[in-house]
Amino acid sequence: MAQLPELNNTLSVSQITGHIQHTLEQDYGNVWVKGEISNLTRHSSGHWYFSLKDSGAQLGSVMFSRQNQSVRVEITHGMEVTAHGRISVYAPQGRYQLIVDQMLPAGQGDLHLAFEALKKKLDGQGLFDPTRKQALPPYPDRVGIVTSPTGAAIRDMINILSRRFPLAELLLIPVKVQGEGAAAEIAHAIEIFNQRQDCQVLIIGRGGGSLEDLWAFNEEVVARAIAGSSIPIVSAVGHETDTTISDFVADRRAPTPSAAAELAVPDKIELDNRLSNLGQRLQKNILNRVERHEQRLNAIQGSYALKRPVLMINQASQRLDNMQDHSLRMVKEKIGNYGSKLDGFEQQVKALNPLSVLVRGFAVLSKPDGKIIRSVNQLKVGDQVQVRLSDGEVQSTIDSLNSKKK
Amino acid sequence: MSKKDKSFEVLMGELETLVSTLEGEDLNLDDAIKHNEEALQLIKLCRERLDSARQKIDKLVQSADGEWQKQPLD
Repeated sequence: MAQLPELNNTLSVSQITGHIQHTLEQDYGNVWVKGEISNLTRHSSGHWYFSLKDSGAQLGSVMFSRQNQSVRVEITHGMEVTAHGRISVYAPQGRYQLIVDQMLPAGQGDLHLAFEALKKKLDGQGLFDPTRKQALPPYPDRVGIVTSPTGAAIRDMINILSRRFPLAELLLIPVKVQGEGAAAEIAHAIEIFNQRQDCQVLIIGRGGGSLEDLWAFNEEVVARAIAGSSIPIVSAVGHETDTTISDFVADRRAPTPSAAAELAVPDKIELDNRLSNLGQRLQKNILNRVERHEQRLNAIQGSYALKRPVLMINQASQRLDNMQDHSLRMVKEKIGNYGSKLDGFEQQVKALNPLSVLVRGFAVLSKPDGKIIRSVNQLKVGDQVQVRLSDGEVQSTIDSLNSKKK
Repeated sequence: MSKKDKSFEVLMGELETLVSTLEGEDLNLDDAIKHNEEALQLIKLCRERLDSARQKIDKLVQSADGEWQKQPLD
């Protein structure tokens, strides 16, 4: 028999239910449960009510319509499933149940568990650490691709890479992307690219498929190869909603192979715009520069420091001009003076030259002793005289003499 | 290394460096004009590369002796 309770040790039903609720919801807030579906009811509200059971126990479960819409397989009575969710206590009825948010057929459920386990392990080892991520090169020369040589993914990537950046060479290592040995091939291809070092960025991926189809990209060997790559890697596996371990380890995650191609290379049109923009910046810059220098030059030209010598030179030059004019004038004057003086002398000399008189038709008479005869009175009839003309002399005799009467 | 041998990335890098050097202040006019001409040439070269590029697509396959060889992707 239990001892009589003490008043302050006693809990109300609500209180103990609250404690149970708190404990269960805290400890079982994130669980995977494996079991068989039974008593499945699809309510008109869209919610599913069922039990998960095994040989020893059963667990009341509910999956609300918002969550059960994402279940891709048809869930039927008796099916083995793996369900993820949280334990919740429904206080009014004193019941606990599993609120399911994800449900998979048992085989897939195992993959999910493996996925979660590997994700947790690699995360714990720091493989998803943002600081490990390498930046993608802005203009890769060569893009390495690890995917299947057939299928939509490679075609989509080639289309986009050619359209955006035909400058980059593409180098594909064809691999199996699903099934036995796929993961090892993918990992090996990444290693080969790392040995070659001729690509600046790698894209690894494949198109959409089931969880099993995508599984190679959830394997540790692939994750390790990605983490060990010194070349940046873009991971593009499946569709938008698919997430793989590769995506977490890779330097960039792209939702689809096409999107990966867009991430890996720049767009030609954007580049073209960028080049135009650089060209405009250059032009503006050089024009500004030239203008600035021109302004500086103008300012310097106008400055007093430069103006003063120019003024001085101008003034000096003017003075020189003046002086030159002046001296020229002086010289001219002098020359003029001498000239007229010379003219005067010439006249005088000419006037004094008796010969010049002779030219005009006069003659000079002289006695044989050379004495010049100036008057009739110096002569008598019969005297010999010399007559001198401009071009010679004549001897003559005086025949008669007539003196002028005064 | 002549410009023709340089990768697009190197050319773009040089171009961007030139433009930012030009946009910095401490540069004399002669150098600025020289840089400007060089940058304009680089732009022309990058454009030509972009316009003339035909994408080359190869695959790497392992031959019988284990060597990896390039082959055109069909």
